[in-house]
Parts: sequence; C-alpha cells; structure tokens
Amino acid sequence: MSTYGPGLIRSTLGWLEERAGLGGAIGPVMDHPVPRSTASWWYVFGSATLALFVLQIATGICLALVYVPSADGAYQSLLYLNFQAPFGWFLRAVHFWGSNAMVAIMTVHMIQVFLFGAHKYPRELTWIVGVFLFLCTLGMAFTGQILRWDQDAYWGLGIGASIASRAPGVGDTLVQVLLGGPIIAGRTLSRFFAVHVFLVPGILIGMIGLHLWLVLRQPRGQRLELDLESL
Amino acid sequence: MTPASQSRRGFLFRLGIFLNVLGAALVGVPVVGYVFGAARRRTDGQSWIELGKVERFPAGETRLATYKNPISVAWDGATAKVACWVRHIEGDRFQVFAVNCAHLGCPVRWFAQSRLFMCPCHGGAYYEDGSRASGPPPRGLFEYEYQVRDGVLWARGGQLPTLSRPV
Repeated sequence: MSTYGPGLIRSTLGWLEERAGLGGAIGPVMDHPVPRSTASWWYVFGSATLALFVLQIATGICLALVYVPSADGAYQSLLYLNFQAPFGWFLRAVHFWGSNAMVAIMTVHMIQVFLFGAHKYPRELTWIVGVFLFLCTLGMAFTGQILRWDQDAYWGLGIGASIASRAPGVGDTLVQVLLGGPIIAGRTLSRFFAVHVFLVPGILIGMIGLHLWLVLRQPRGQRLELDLESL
Repeated sequence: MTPASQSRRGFLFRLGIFLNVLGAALVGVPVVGYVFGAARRRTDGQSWIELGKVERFPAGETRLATYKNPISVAWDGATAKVACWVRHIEGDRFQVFAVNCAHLGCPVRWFAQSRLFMCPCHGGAYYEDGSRASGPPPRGLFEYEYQVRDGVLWARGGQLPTLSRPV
C-alpha cells in the first residue's frame, strides 16, 4: 500500500532524485555558506536579469501567438494585439518595458561586478561569457524593435545597414546579409523575426546555462573564505 | 597486436568520423548558401525604374517621387515603395537623389525656401545640387543615373545606397 500526503511527495521526489541526481549535484552548492558581508542586495542584479529574461520568454511566446512576421501584416497584427486580443496590450507593454528593464538591470549587474572586482581570478570566464550575454541582449533589443515595423524600425534598419556598410572590405556583403537583399523590404523583417525569436534566444539560453554553471563553480565569497582559513 | 591504423576498430572509427563530416556538410553547405545567398547578386541590384512624366517635375523645382522597388515580393506591403528626390534643372537636365542621407541612411527632406536638403537624424545638410553643405555626411547625396525617354523620366536604382556601395 502506497502512502498519501507528504509521504507521496517524498517518495516521488526520491524516485526522481534516484534517476536524475539533480539534488545531489546542486544541493551542496545551494547550501554552501557565504560570508555575512556578501549577504547584500548588491548581489541581486544577476538573478534579477535572469528573472526578466524568463519574463521576456513568457510574454514573447504569447506575442508570437498573434504577431504576423510579414511586412504587409506586422503592423495590423500589432493593432489587433493592442485593441482586440484579451490582455494583448498588457503583454506587449510588459515585453517592451521588460526589454528596457533587462538592458538596464544587466548594465547595473555588469557595473557592480566590475566595481567589486568580481571579474578577476578565478572568475574571468564568467565575465567573458557575461560580456557575450550583454551583446546578445542588446541584439535582442535591436531586433525586437525592428519587429514593430513602423517608421522607427524602417529607418533604424537604414542606420544599422549604413553602419554595417562602413566595415572595411565586407561592408556591402554585410548589408546584403543583414537586409536579406539589396534594400529594406519584406525579407528583412522575416530575417529579423527569425533572429529575434529563434537564433539569439537559443544562443542566450545556452550561454546563460554556461554562465550559471561558472557562477556555481566559483561561489561568491569563496576566495575570501579560503584566505581566512589560511591566516 | 595490430596497430590502430590497420585494425578493424580503427577503420570503423575513421569511417564513422568521415560519415559524420559528410552528414554535417550535407546540411551545412545548403544552410550557409541559403543564409548568405542574399549577398550573392544575380544582377548588380539595379534596374531602370519609371518615375513619371517629365511634366510632373516643373523646371527649377525639386519634387519627391516614389516608385515600386523593382525586386519586390508580394508581402512587402508599404516597404515596396521607395522614395527619391527629383531635381529638374531645365530641359532634359535632371538630378535624381536617393532619399537616404550619406551619413546613416535617414530620409533627407527638401526645404524649398532655404534650397537645402536636411536630415532629421544628425543635422546633415546638402545644397540643391546634392553636394554636402554641412554636418556629419562624408560626401554628397547619392545620385541615381537617369534617362528621359518619350517624355518620361527613368532612374536606375533598386538598392539601399550606402558608402560601400553608392548607387
């Protein structure tokens, strides 16, 4: 006879743990004590950025259920989203403000890490991956703005293409690859949709996993502890 | 003992690597060709475009003209339409300027009173003949080739003019 209530939950978790071993792998790191001086709000910005990223995924999937990534339908579908889809206006607004907040909070996170000297040995690699995460996030902000397909999007692309064209030697090729053709048109929007929804988020998720792995391998305050012990 | 280079295991291992590389190439070559195919041009991206009857552009004036992108697709929507500035000097003498500023591609606007093209983004300014007047643009306006045929003005365009590939 099987048990019910807390017993059932415990046996289910036990079944999972026996097979996946996640608790055994993560538990010690989560339980790892940190020095009192690092129990501070200054360390909240990395987690805050991650929370915003999860928010962007959730609202982004909702927007993609309605949004039409075609140059002749994108703007219409946004009007529908704003005025007809239930809570569409809200989800779109959250996605917009979430993206701004993610860039802002991530910048604060980067400044905090730098000012605390937390990018130094043994966490250089965490910093390097973080820099690429920062660039990818800026890329998400730019490509996301393109998807509105309004005047800002169109002329923003003109500026992006003009900047790309200044790359020595490969400028013209870069413009063509960026725009998906010789001029800003329907193929440009399809391209930016694919980059915004598939390519960069995939890279981001992979790199966040790596970033978190590195953070867990070099928990905060660890060096300090070792120094104290050696005294 | 047979050396690894001659053993059945070594052979199958190398065969496995070869098959994996082959599989990666079978997928990779079309993907790279597809993504970067946009950069390969069958033509130079330019074609002759009809801008309208010469009478639409009074001599001594500069007017905005729009045309349909010659390589548009059905779902381009409003972005199939491209604008350019037409300056009719006199008779068959014209100048056709791309709307894009030579600095960062923003749309310049013609101000008839001051006889200047001005860019809203960073304050680039051009004289009526398209030459640079002031501001960040490194050169004058991009200028299309033109023709007058049977009283109709044609220009040669179709791509976004940039510094690396001015029209």
